[in-house]
Amino acid sequence: MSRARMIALLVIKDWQVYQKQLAGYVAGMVLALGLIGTGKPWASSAGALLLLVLQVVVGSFAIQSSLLTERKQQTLAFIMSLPVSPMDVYWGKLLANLAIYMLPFSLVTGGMVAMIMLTAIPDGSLVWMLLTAMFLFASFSASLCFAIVVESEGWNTFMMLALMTLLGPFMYLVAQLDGIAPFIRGDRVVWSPAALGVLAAECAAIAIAIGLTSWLQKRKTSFL
Amino acid sequence: MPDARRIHAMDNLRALAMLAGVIFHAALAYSPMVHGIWPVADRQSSNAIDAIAWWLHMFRMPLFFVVAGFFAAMLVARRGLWNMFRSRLRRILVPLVVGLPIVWSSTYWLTVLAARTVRYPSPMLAWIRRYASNHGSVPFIPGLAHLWFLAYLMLFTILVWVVSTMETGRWHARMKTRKASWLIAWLLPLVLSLALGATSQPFPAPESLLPQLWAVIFFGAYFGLGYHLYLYRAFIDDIKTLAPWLFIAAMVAYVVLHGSWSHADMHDDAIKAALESCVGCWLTLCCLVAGWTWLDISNRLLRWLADASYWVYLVHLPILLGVQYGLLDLEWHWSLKLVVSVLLTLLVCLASYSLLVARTGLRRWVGGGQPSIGKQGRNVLSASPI
Repeated sequence: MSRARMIALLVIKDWQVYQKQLAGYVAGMVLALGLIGTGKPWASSAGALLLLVLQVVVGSFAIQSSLLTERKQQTLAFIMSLPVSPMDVYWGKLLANLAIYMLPFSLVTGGMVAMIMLTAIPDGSLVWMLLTAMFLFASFSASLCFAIVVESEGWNTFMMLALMTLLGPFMYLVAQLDGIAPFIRGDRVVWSPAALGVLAAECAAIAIAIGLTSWLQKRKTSFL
Repeated sequence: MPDARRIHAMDNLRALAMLAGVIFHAALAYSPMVHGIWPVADRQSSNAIDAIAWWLHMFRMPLFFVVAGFFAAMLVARRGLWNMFRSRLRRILVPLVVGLPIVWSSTYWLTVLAARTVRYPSPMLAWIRRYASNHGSVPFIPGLAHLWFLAYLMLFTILVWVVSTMETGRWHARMKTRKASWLIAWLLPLVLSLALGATSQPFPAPESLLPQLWAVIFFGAYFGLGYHLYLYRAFIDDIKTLAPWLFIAAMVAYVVLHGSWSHADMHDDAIKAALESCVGCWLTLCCLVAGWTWLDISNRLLRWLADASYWVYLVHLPILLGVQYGLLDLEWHWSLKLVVSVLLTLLVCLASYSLLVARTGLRRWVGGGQPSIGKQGRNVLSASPI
């Protein structure tokens, strides 16, 4: 069996194990989008908050269940009995978690884009919303890579909580930037140098997290 | 081995529901109820056409979603969940993504042209003309137009996966009894009235790009009913004896409901929503019984029409608008205009199906056919869109 096929099987395994919970999150997100779609202020606010909370929780859930809980259940001995290398397992975990996260993430981000572009909400806030979404994705990527490399549950919980805590300050600080603040309440979508700079930093954070983890994993010659 | 027989009753019901959509949209031009907001509203209108058109509206889309749920269950049973997703992406998402810009641009262009040239504009067209003269251009409001059903079908496809992970088999087994079928027939309107209570009367097309919660519940319930029907075909036999009573009850409820629309003093929206739910649900069930009793037939013409119905529905609205904008200034009686607009629209739609779809590669995306199993389990027909 080819290496790509083995990695695909590992991804499918994780998907099948966690799809029931993921389906629950997706159902919650459909409900949240429906609440936003009512157009009533209280329901829209509740829906938007529910979307944000579910998106943060689904990331933590994926990492917690597929990496930390599996370690607690000591599944390593079983994995070692399979014809796979440490790098295969690494790619399997990385891709499975990204797939589990990307399904609700694309639903939420798409819903938010639609809401901004098609309702009375100023189109200018699109840039700020997308930068916030990218921050969520970068946080998830960093937490995931950290969980792959560091086995301590305590440090992993700390990492996830720390990154979640940064979300509020990030949203506030980005909204204050000179290249973003003047356009948030406007009708034009403006990708100013400041906005592009933040976006580039987020992309770089994702690339560095994945690149560094891949490099560290490549150096591993055995599972232990 | 899955049942590979083509189910003509559902094919024909799907075709009728879609063709009823063409008639309904054509009739709106002569409906007093939407005279102020429909762009092709004619100078002439008729209370009779109002009564018939809105009666049709009560059950044509509910019936469509029942058929959609039925075929979704069939696809899952015959090809599995993953292949159902692939099929839906090709036959629902692609037509939606490709079709929407075409519908937007064609209806916008036709409306701009009509606003400039029509001598007797509808109130909406007159407003657009005034707006254009004050602001220099005609406003464009993006929405799903008549293709909203495709977006909801995609959403329900995702929800099929969600429900399939919940292992509902044991719970669903309890619904496979005659008693449960009777309960569904009498109590489903209660669930539906909760959804309809959250929207305007009569229920509008949920054209917004964001999902409408009432529409997800309302049409989702019908989709679920269709899914149940595939898994428990005896449902139709169970409710067959009820059908005459359901029909009478639905007609009485519709008379009361239609009367309440005409009398502004009746403000109780909860009662109207309950009546609307009863009418829609019971007429939909009657259509299913009638379809399985009398429409389980097939010949080349019926099959061709059933196959063409998806394409016809996708393309009919811009064509119908074009025809009806052209009829606005004519002095013909409204009934003649209605017949001409329906016939011309169907002619253009069917001719375009024959030329562009039936014998070309487009058939895979927007042609007809039901999923079936060929030699060695390979699919020999493309999946139906619904």
